[in-house]
Amino acid sequence: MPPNLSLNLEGMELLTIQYMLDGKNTEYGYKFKLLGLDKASFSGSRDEDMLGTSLVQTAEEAGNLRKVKFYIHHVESPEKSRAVKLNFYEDGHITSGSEITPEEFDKIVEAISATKAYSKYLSSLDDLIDDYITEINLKGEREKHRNRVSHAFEELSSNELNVSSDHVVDSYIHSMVLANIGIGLYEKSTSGSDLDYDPNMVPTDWHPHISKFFENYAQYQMEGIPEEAHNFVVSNINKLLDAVDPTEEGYSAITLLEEAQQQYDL
Amino acid sequence: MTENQFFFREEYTIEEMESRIRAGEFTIDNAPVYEILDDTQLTPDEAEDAGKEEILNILGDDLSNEDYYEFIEEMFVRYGHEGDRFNQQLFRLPPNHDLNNLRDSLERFEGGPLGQPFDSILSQPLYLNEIKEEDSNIDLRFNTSVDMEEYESEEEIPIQVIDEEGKRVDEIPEDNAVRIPTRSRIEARIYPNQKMISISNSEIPVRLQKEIFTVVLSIITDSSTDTEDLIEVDDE
Repeated sequence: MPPNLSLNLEGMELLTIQYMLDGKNTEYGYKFKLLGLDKASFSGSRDEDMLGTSLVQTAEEAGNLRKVKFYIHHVESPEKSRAVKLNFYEDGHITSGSEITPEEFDKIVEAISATKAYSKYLSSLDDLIDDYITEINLKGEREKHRNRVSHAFEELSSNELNVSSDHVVDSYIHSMVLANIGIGLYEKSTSGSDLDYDPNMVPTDWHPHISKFFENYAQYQMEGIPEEAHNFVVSNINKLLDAVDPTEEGYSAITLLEEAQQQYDL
Repeated sequence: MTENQFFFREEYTIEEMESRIRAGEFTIDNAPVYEILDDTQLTPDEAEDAGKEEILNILGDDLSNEDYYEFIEEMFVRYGHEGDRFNQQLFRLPPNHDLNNLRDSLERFEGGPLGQPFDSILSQPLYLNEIKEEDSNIDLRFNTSVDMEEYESEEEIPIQVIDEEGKRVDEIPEDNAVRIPTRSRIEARIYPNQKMISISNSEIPVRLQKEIFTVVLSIITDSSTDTEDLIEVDDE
C-alpha cells in the first residue's frame, strides 16, 4: 500500500473531529516520549470538559493525543434519539459502541474530511508557543508567558465571538484556529505580496499578549518579516472576526478557517 | 452483529428487532404494548411489573407467529435502533484521480472471483459480490471464498440442527461431524467527494483489508484518464 494514503489522525485533528461532531468527551488517550512512560488514558464524565483539568493539560503539554472517545447525540427521528459512543484512533480506525446508521457514519466521514482539509491550521497554541518559548530564559517566565498567551486568546474569542471559556473544547479550538490563521497571514506577508490593510482595523483593545505571541513567533520562527507585517496580521484577523456571525446556524471555528481561506487564499 | 454488515444492511431478523428495542419501551404507556394486551392473558398491571423478557415470552406463547412478528415490527419501527455497530478503517484515495466513472470500472469486476489483473495483489480468492450507489457514494461488498470448518459432535454436547425459528429438529449422533461453509464478508464505502474509502475492520486480517484497498486503488488508477496525472509524471 502506498504509505502516503494511510489516514492518520493527529492529536489536534482528533480533538477537532470531536468539536465538529459536538461530542461529549469520555476518554482521551495520550502517548509520550518519556523514559518509562508510553501511554496514559483519562476518562471522565461526559457532562464535564476534562480537557480543562490540570492533569489532562499536563498530558497535553507533555505528549500527544492518540485516541478520543466521546458521545454524540444520534437522532434517527424525533422519537428516536440517543447517545452513541464513538471511538477514534490515530491510525484512522473508528468504531461505535452501539448501533448507528450509515447516514450518520457519512457525517462522521465528512467531519474527518473537513478536519483533514484544514490540518495545516490545527497546531495547538501550546505547540506553537513551544516553537519559540525556549528563547525566553527563565522557566518561571516561560510558564507565565504561556498562561498569559492562552488567556489572551481565550479572552479574544470570548469578547469577539462570545465563546464561553467554560466550553473548554470550543475555546481551545478557537484559540488554536486564530493563532494559526495569524501565522498563515505572517507567511503571506513574507511571500512578497502587497500588504494591504486598513489602519483603522488595527485593534487597540486586545490583550497585549496576542501581539506578543505573534511577534515572538515571527521573530524566532520566520525570516524576512516586513516591518508592517504585524499590523497587517492583526488588522486582518480583526476584519475576519467582524466578517463572521457566531450566532448564525452552523457557525463553528471552522467557519473562520473557511472565511480566511476565501479572503486571503491562505 | 452480523459480521461486518453495515453499509449493506437492508432488513432485520426478528431477534435483531427484539434486541434493538430498549427494555424501557415495553411499558403500557406505549400504545402498541397497551393495545396488544387484549390478545393476551396479561393485565395492564401485570405488564407494567413484568420485564421485557417476560413480556416477550408471554406474547410469544399467546400470539400467533404472525401477530407476534407484527407487534415486534411495529415496536421496532417506532422505538428500535436502526443501523449497526461499526468497526471501520479509513484510507485516503489519491487526490488527483477523477472518480466520476469509477462505478463503471468497478462493475467490470462484479460477480466472479477477482483474477487478472489482481493476481499479484491478492493472497487468497476474493469476490466482488455487490455494488450499489448511495447518494454520491459507492458501496462494495466483497466475500472471500468458502472455507469448510469441521465440527465434531460429542455425547455431552451434541451438535443440534435447528429450524428457522431456532427450534431443534435434529441432532448429529456422537462422533459424527458436520462441515460448515464459512466465508468472510468485507464491506467498503467509497467517498468520491472526500477522496476517502472506509473498509470493514472487524474480524478480517489486516493483510486482506490492505489487499482490498490496493485492488480498489488499482481500479481507480487504471480507469482514470485525468490529465493532471500526466502532468504529475512530467513534474520535476
